[in-house]
Amino acid sequence: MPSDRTISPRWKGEFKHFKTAVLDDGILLAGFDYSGKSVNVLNVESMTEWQEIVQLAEQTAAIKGVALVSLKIGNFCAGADLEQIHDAQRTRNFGEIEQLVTTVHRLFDAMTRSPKPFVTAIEGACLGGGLELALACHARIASTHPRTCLALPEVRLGILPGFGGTQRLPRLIGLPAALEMITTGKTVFPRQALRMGLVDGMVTSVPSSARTLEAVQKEALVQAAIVKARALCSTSARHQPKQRFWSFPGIRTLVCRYARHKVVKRVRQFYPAPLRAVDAIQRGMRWSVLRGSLNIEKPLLLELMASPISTHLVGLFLSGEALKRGVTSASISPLRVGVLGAGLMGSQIAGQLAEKGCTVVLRDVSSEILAKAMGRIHETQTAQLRKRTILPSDLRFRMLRIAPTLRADDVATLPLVIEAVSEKLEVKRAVLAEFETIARPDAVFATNTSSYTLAEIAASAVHRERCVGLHFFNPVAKMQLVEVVRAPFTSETALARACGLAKLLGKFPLMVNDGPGFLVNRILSRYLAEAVILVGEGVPIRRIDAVAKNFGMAVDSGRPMGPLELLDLIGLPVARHVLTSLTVLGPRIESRDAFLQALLPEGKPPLTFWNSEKENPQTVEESRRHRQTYSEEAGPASDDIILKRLFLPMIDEAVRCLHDKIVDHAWQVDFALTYGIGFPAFRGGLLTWARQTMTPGQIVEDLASLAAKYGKRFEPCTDLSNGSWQG
Amino acid sequence: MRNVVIVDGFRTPLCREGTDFRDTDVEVLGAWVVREMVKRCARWNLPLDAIDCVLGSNVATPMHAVNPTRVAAVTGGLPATIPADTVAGKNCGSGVTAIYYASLRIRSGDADTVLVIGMEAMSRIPIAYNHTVADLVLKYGKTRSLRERTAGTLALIPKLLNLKKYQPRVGLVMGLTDPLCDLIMGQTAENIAKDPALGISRQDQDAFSVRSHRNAAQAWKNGLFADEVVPMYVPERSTYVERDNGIREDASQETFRDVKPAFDKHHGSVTPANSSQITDAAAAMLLMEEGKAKSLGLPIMGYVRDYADCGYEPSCMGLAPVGAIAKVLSKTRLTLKDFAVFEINEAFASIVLGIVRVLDSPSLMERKFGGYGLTGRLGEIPSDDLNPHGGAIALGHPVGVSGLRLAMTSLYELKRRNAERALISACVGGGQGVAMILERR
Repeated sequence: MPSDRTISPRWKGEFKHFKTAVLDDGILLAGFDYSGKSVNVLNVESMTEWQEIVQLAEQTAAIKGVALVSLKIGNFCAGADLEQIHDAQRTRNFGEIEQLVTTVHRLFDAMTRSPKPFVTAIEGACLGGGLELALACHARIASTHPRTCLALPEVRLGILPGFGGTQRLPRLIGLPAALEMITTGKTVFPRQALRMGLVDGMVTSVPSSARTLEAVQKEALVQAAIVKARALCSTSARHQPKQRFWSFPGIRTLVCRYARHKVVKRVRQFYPAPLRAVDAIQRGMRWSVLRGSLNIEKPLLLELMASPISTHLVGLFLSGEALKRGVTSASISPLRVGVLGAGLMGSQIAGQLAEKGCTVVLRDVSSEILAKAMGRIHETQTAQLRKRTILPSDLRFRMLRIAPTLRADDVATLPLVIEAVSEKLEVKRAVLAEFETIARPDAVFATNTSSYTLAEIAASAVHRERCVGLHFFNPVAKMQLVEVVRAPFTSETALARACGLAKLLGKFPLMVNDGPGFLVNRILSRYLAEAVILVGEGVPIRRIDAVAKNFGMAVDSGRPMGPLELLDLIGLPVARHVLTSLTVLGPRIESRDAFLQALLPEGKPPLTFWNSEKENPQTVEESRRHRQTYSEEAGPASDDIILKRLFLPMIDEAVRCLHDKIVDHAWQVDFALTYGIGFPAFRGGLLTWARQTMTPGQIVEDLASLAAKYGKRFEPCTDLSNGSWQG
Repeated sequence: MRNVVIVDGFRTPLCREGTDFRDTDVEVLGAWVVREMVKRCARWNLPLDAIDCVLGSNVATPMHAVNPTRVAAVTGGLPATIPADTVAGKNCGSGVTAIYYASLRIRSGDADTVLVIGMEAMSRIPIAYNHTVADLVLKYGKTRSLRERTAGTLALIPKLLNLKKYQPRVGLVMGLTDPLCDLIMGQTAENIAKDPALGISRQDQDAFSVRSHRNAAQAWKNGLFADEVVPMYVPERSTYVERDNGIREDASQETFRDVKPAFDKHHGSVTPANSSQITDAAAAMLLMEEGKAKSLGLPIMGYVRDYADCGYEPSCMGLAPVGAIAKVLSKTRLTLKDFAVFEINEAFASIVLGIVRVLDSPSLMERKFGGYGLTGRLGEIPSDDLNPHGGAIALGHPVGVSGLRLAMTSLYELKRRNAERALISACVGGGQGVAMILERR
């Protein structure tokens, strides 16, 4: 099919990351196929090749236009090479990236100015740099493939779109929409993309399973792109900035000010990247795309990239990837999972499983609880239907995948069950014993306990090797972390299946060793217990939560939350149960039972700290009464002390966890706390924060002085001072 | 000849219109019973692809799922490779007819295993716009300019509000009205009640209803429905439904005496209390070729035997079962004495009373069915054997499900009585009747 063989020595598809062919009517079909990776990335290598292709197309008269497709399945382009960025951040050497950015700006500008039309056919994820590449083309056609999504998620990594995205997107889809996409990094799906003008066409396409240029040419999507390119050949006017309205100075300033306001409302001042992105968009509109890119976007990008926040965010992102890659996982087949216990956690887990296409047998002993659970699941699913993120058929299938039952033998044939019954050791043991009498010999029993160790639950089990912990966090749909708990007796197959299930749910499976509270709850309990003690000492509830919020707790979830708000969410009875069970760790876990008891009156609903955005007067009253009875000293003087009292014990506990080999590496602790309890990601995680802001000696000294003043629970562990945790 | 056996059958509780199942679409109701059947297949170690096809019965077919059986089958967890179709056209007889069609498929050798499901969501039957308004709505959909849109809105709104002149048509009422005689089903029942030859009084009808309610309540009390009824979780309403909710424990002649007639307000005798209830429910039955069921070691509830249907005068459709019963009896050379259990669908009390009286009287037979070539009395149906645990008056009449319920209830009763043969029959709007013989050998 290539008609013109004389063009170039590199011409017969001799690129490493691209396949090319010139079709009969002069359309150059370029297939992006980054060799050595499962996704396409933009780096010096691939961009150099693309530059050559663009130049070739410019210089060759026989080529009338270019259609760019991806030869990867379910991925158009994942954007810039994150590992390259991470390396640069580690070595503090941004020379290569700066050069790449400059090259890409000129290259994309050349594409846009080219008299020959460039058209992209987007199928699969088109993220970051990939979308910027598509934006530089004259037209974009998207396929309705379920994995097709478009986003500029750079701000989530602490940087901003650096290949001209801040300049081209507002011109294409208008200022407000572009600001929204860039400052939040939100994902846009094809239908929506078509509506907002991000893509020029949408095609229902059946992907070809053979990923060669010849095969994909027959796809409806690629055909549509070729037709579009041909159509553009004959018109001279293309890629006109349509959105002139928004570029009027007054309107521009207003819209950008509102965008900044929204960013600050969402993430306060903690993250500079979205604000810088707004700057880049606002200032860039005064100039041409190329000048805006080079003079405004690039310096801001390099500045952000060099900042510690971006280093932390990229590091955490790569940690997540490493976690997913690092565990051996086995798929469960048939994809049927039992959930024992239809309480708050059980129903959420069942709902999540059903969402991912898993058949669920949801078992409980009470039909009333089951009915309520089904109602809750239906509620969350219809909410998705209302938001139009799912279709009515999805709703029906998801609901019917869950079979509620009262009979134990309905879970007998399943390869894996998740136990989420009430937190009582005897109940959990009984459930396990009952399961063992009916289950297949190779069936896995995964417990979602939060206060008992796996060893305690499996103490009298016949097949202990089948027991594994699978600790989800509430709310299950939002929290991306799952602790996969390994006891010495747990078999590899059980672990692999548990990890497989976690991955199926799209969660990060963090392998932890068995121990009280595992990793997250153990560290979290020190924080929560201290917060309760502070309330008992008379420190205002509002002040405690404000200190934590100013520190950035849970800011990434979009709803900053202090420890007491979190306690209300968890529920005091559960929290007390966890705290009590953790006292085996030693006297440092002080739960102030007397005060907690006062907050949990017999036969009445437990008190909360907050009551519709206000401090609960009853709790304040209880705290006062408590102080009178026990004559506790008045609260600490400064916010700094509160901060230290909340966070230093966490560092101490994390170091103890490392010492006890709950996990092996400090980065795992950092990742777990960020995704498990909302430790602010911009600080890089608990231990990274500790390492970078304090010396071990300082921490030990601070803890010792706190211990002298407030009690022995602050006494630092020996590992803290030797600094081995700094890893 | 290949014999057709019923391996298993169950139904959801029957819930009155507008109660527990009101938010559940018909295909979801069907999917619930399919899911339950899938669960049972797992218990029997029966692979799902052993099911050759699914045959459903649903009368008020929803617009969004014209083949609700297919939707129910696949959503409920059956492989998408199993075909499914819906019997809808035989109104209240659809359930019985679906069983018959399934048995035909098995007898002919086309299939070995057929899953029959019945489902009906009468609460979900929509209300249709009046034609004039509908036209305006469609026209509005085609508007392009703001001017057209404004004009469309202005034309539409007064008509939408004027419910009296542009009356919306209630789907349920339309469905229950026979276009052949423009009578709603209750009026055809009035025709039978008012027939002097049959001599059915208001007291007779009320007494029959009281009996239906009492029998049903007694059956629930004695736990007789435990095998037949599978409790359901209703996610839409966060409830757990265990029991039929139309049964009135306090049913008595005295309480029913004050109920106003519904179809002839001043001179009628057919009241809501002596008519069947409008109900949502679903049911499932697994039919199999005898040899296959035995080789798989599956339980056998009973055998599907002969079937007959017949047509009759539409305005007196309630008497049509007499013809069907006569036909199926003459076909099999059986008499009414050979049956231990009779389940005749209680669409209206007057209808069941009319049928029983015509069957028992040579003169009535001559007068009503002489023209159809039937003469002579067929015999008496003993009161104890007729609908022994109540019928549609107490339990409810989900039209597409009733046929399956009659079959199931009679089979479970045969088992309890350790008897051999049951006759089920139902009248069909439009002037038809169906009858079917079930055996337990």
